Amino acid sequence: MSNDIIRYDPDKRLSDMVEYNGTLYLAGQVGEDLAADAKGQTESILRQIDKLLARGGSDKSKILSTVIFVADMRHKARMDEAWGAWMTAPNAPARATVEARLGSADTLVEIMCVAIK
Amino acid sequence: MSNIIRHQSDARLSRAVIHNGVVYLAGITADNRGGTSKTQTEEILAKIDALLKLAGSSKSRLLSTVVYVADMRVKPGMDEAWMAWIDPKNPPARATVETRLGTADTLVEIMVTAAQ
Repeated sequence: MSNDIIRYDPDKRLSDMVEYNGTLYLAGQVGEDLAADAKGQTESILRQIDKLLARGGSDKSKILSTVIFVADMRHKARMDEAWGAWMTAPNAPARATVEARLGSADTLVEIMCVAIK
Repeated sequence: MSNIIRHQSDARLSRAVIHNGVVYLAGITADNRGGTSKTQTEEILAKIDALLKLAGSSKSRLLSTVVYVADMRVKPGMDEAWMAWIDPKNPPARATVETRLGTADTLVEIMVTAAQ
């Protein structure tokens, strides 16, 4: 019954990505180098999203919806620079960006998205 | 044409909405807000169990979750309750962020998506 749900890299708390019925649900991704600025962190996040989507048989042109959390709205412009270089028309997803404090003080950006295969 | 099923609906929101085999729950908070983030989370997860059951799903079929905490310092208490609750073989995708919630004593709010 639960074979219809595929979980990628599950640990005791969460899975990095979950696949069900042709839809991929990605966990919130954060940058690998938290010393980087919001642009550098976003670039790292987007590379991780690319890799996860590829493992799920998808790519960035098939993202439905995205929520971007920034630790401070002042980081949004730098996040958007990286996003704008990565996302291409006409494949932009529905998106919202909100300010929220994140897992650690130096985590500036976290991105969660849903895509189809 | 509409094949959307709504449970515990009022004029503002539904606690559970089902479409195409996927269950979307509203953000769930605890009624007893005197407790810690752990006890609030335990109450929330019990409510989520009940809603998922109502929708023909269960915690083993969670897809994605967003956890909102009022302060990142209460995340460990939330996580304790979370890890005791989830099916260890079937954890969902998850993000946890800090944000102000409905009332000053609301420490945790959890929103989940599950397969039926």
